[in-house]
Amino acid sequence: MLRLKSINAYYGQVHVLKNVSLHVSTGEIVALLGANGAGKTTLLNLICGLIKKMDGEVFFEKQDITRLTPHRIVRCGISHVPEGRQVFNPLTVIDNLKLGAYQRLGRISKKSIEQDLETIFSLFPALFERRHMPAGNLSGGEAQMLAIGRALMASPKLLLLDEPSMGLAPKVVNEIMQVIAELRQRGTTILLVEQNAMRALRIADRAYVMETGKIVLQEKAATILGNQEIVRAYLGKSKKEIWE
Amino acid sequence: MWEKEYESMDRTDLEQLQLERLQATLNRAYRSVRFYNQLFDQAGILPEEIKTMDDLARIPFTRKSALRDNYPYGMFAVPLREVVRIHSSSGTSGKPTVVGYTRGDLVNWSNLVARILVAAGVSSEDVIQIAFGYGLFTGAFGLHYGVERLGASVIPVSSGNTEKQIMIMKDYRTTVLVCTPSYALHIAEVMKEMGVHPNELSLKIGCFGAEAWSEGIRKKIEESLYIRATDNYGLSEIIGPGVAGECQYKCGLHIQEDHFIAEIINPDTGERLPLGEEGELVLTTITKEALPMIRYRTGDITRLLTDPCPCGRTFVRMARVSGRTDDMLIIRGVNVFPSQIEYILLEEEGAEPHYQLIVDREGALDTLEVRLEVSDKIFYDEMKLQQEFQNRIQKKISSLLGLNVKVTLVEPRTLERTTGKARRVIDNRKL
Repeated sequence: MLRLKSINAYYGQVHVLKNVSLHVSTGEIVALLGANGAGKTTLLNLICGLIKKMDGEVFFEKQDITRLTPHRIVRCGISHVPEGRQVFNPLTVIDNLKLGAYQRLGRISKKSIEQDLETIFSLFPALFERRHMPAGNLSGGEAQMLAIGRALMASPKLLLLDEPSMGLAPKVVNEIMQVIAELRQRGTTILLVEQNAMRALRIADRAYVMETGKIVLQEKAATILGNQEIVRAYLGKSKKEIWE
Repeated sequence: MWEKEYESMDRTDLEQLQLERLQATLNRAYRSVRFYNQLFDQAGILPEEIKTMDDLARIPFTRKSALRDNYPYGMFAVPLREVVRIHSSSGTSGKPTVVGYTRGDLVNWSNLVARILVAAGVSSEDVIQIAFGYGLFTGAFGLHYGVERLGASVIPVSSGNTEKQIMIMKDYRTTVLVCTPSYALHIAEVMKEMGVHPNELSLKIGCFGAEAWSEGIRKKIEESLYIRATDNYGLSEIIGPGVAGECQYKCGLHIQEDHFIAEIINPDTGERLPLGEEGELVLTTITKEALPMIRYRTGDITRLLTDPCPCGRTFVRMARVSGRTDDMLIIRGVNVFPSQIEYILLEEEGAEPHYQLIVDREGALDTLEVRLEVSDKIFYDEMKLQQEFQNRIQKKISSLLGLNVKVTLVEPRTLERTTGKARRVIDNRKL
């Protein structure tokens, strides 16, 4: 479904993504793991068309989207849930959600927007209860649900999730992870960026491990979970001494 | 197929997977292996410059000597505590070649061999007799893991004691024989002598490897053991057995391209040759954790076949190995370099560097004779000393190679000299 080939990206003179190749097949949950500053968020931003200084190829469903503008990319079926939720605090929950359907306005009926809202409320009952409240009043977990819900209002084929568990209590993280697994059941393909590697691996099919802008490992999630040595070797520090 | 999602993968998806795994391997090797770090730096290449499969050709080759120069563990990409298995093969001069595996490597290795067994027609119902020597070589253990992964029964007989092999084969109802093709022929001959008819066995399939053979030998094995004989290929520097293997159509060995990238080069110029042309096989591992090998020169001459195979596997195939680019000999499945023997001879006082290796086949089995010219002094000394000298050399060579060799002392200037380079090896085998 999504295919990146030898992507290089720059922030000014800084080479932030080095030769990154990655793919996500239809129906998969793919986790992108790595320490802070490894380039995970940059990679998601690049897929969304937010980074201009780059080379390489991005293909989505066989279409070259490398040079498309962000709103065209959303229209192709890619939705982004950014790091730190980025919901509109003064607006009500329901208005935030409707904004997510902005790209589809005029192309779909009001009725189908209402239907999508219902679907999202069934996924996140807490949001339904607070639908007329300003988003600023929501808890962290609820705001994350709202951010995901807003992205879903664009009815994406591929959902990019950036650190959905950040700053949330363990119990809430579990709920969010369950929702992600359920989204996949409903047919959405997911690329998930996480610092919480273990949590992400438990729901993912495959994972890529990034380190300073490079991918150093791509493997099935179950294989990584069943092989703690890999985690030690790749998520930990690199080899300095053979006898260490 | 054992892993259909990979073995019959769409070529476009496969190429994407290869690129991703290759780039990750290059990043890891550059970061963790000093040899590769220096290799890239000296060539003025950064791993991130390898953006396509064509770019791979910019990276310098790695040769067997790299393993020798970094003996024992210098080529490992992970600390020793992540390594769970160490094997070694014969090196080129004195020191063996050391290879290591992480837990993940062993899992991949088992699956790769299981794939090859399934391609050859083996199933979980089978009883497999492994007549490769267990020990430092990778052959026996690799096949053993594959059989266990497949869930079939494994009989780890190890090599040698042919009559016992035949008894076990008959009484335990072995259905699959794993060994070198020449040993399979030897078994057939001994069976004849013992009066055991192939119909008394339950044998169906033979999975043969570790040495070069021909269609003629295949026919002979199939006719004398009443089995289907298949070929498989591997080398310990890459992973051991499991690199490539034949399917039931026996039209070349499918290379497991989701784990290894194959190129064919001109052995003299190092240039990459167009698909289909014959040259030296160069392999790059793209999933190995402990010991990544980048553009490793196998020394084996073959060509790649890309026409579709009726079995449905989309991996390219390699033709039977037709020869070597170097002077390596394969004797009873053991890799032997004349330089290893030379090294021992030079170490021994009294030995002049004039020697000849005579390789022959007695019945189905290879023999190696080392003829050595000795100085006048030794020859005219006491018989006892001469005998001791001969025994010592024979013991040293036999223990280094893990093969029984015969050592013959000859008088000075009796070995054939051709203008220029001495003719070191006389191979009388007809393969």
